[in-house]
Amino acid sequence: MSRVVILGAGISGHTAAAFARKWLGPEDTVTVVSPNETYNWIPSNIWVGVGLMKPSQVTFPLAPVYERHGIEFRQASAREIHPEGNADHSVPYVVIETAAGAREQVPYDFLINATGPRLRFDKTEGLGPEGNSLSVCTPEHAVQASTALDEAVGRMRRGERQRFLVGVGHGTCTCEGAAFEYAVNLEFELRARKVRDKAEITWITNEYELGDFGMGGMHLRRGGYVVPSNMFTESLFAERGIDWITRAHVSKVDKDRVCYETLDGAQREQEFDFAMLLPPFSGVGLRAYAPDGADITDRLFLANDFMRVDADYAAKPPGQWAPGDWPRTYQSPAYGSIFAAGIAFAPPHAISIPHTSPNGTLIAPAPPRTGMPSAEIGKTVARSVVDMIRGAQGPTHSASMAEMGAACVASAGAHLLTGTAASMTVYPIVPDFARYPQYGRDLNQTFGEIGLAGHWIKILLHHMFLYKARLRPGWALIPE
Amino acid sequence: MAIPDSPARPTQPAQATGSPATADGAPSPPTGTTATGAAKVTAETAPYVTRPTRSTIFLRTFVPWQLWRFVRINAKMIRIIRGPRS
Repeated sequence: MSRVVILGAGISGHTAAAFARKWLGPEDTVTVVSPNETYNWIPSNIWVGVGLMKPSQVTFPLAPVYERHGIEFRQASAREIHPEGNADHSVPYVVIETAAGAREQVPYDFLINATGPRLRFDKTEGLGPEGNSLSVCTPEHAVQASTALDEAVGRMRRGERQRFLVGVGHGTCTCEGAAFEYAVNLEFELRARKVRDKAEITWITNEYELGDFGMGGMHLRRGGYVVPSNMFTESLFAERGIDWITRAHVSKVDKDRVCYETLDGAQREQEFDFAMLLPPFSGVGLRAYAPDGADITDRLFLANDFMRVDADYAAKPPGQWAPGDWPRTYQSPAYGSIFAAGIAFAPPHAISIPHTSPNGTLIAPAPPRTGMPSAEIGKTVARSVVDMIRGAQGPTHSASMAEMGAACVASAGAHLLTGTAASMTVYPIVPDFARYPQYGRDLNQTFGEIGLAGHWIKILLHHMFLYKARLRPGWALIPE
Repeated sequence: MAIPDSPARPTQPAQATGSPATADGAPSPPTGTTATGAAKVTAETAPYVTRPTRSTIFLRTFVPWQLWRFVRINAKMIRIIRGPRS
């Protein structure tokens, strides 16, 4: 009998748990530890944030699903990893803690860390729902954003002008794509509510160019040319009357303005009445201990609390970055029974070239590891763990982001006949200039297009992935 | 393994254009100074931004065309989803 423990029930952890349970025998146990009672299909949170969906449409309770499929569920936060057990017994275990403060030791044979990010609103003064800006990172945050939007629309209907600021709240944020979706959906919704003429919308980002999305942008064949993605993003914003600020590090969010520094070192301000700014991420802050109680956290985690895996973490300049730097199996180099999946694994470096202002401020999008890659990595790790339980000496499957493509649909307005979305595919996610010397990616498999079809696909994906996450009949046939 | 340097390999993001985006075409303020206003770009201050033609805008929501694009985009995505695995 083997015990697989999965920390986190997000896209990666839930996928890993579902496949591990499907592939393992009844004598083996799969346990999921998550502080959240519900599963959240995060890509649709943007629609909650503009009032088009209710939280119940993007979430469902985890416990009944896990009970139906024989997965043990502990609603608690993981606190500590003891990879060699303790002084009394050598069985590895994690320490979890419920919201009420009760702590429990959960033993494991294989541990998959899929805890996702800690939302670091604290990195920027005044950032976040407890400060002066909004977020759509969780359903609760999205509801707050929706309520604030309703209030702003009310003011516009009374004749007031409103300034909307949407983007990222720190120079090292990731998830620019989600903020971008929120910006264009907000614009669409203001038009639908017939108050667009009273709104000034500004996009603020740490990207060097629009359309970077933390993956160095991409190039597409269009109209006989190979064109960069910033051209399409600028076009989309200009067409919709959205202004933009690039290469920005937001340093402070006051009640009605943000202070930010741009890459030229200048300190600037932007006033707002409504600000939705996503936070930077870090790992959740798990600690690791040796049997004698010594803190060995740095053996398992980097300083940003993301987990070390089989990546090349040697510091090197962007000119020396290589596809081989990126992890393939997501196995901890310190302990073969520990893996990390999704946002929890530490990337070796950025994908976009990082920049520093003359003041020493790092303004660089962090690499995205959400959505399709996150689920793909979760499934791959589960496959390797199951094979190792059955006798394999090491991980049997790999899913390097330098060898993996991704499909993404970014909503640009939700309506069955007038909505649009940008449908994109990119291959590989991490550019490989050895294989594709000119642009780093295969242009036959990298494309983007804006249209109503994209919105239909986005709706289809919403329902399809929630069906899959509920582990309904045939769920495993639906791709990641 | 490091990627051999290639003249084609960008040292900036592939789509970079050089200097930081500034508000209105005005010179960038000196390093570390405080500037008033914002480094904001608007459609008016970026007149060379690519814009879609009327036919492109029409086709984006023209249902028969979009039904075809729905099929094509799904086919492209399935190709990515079924991409190389090991």
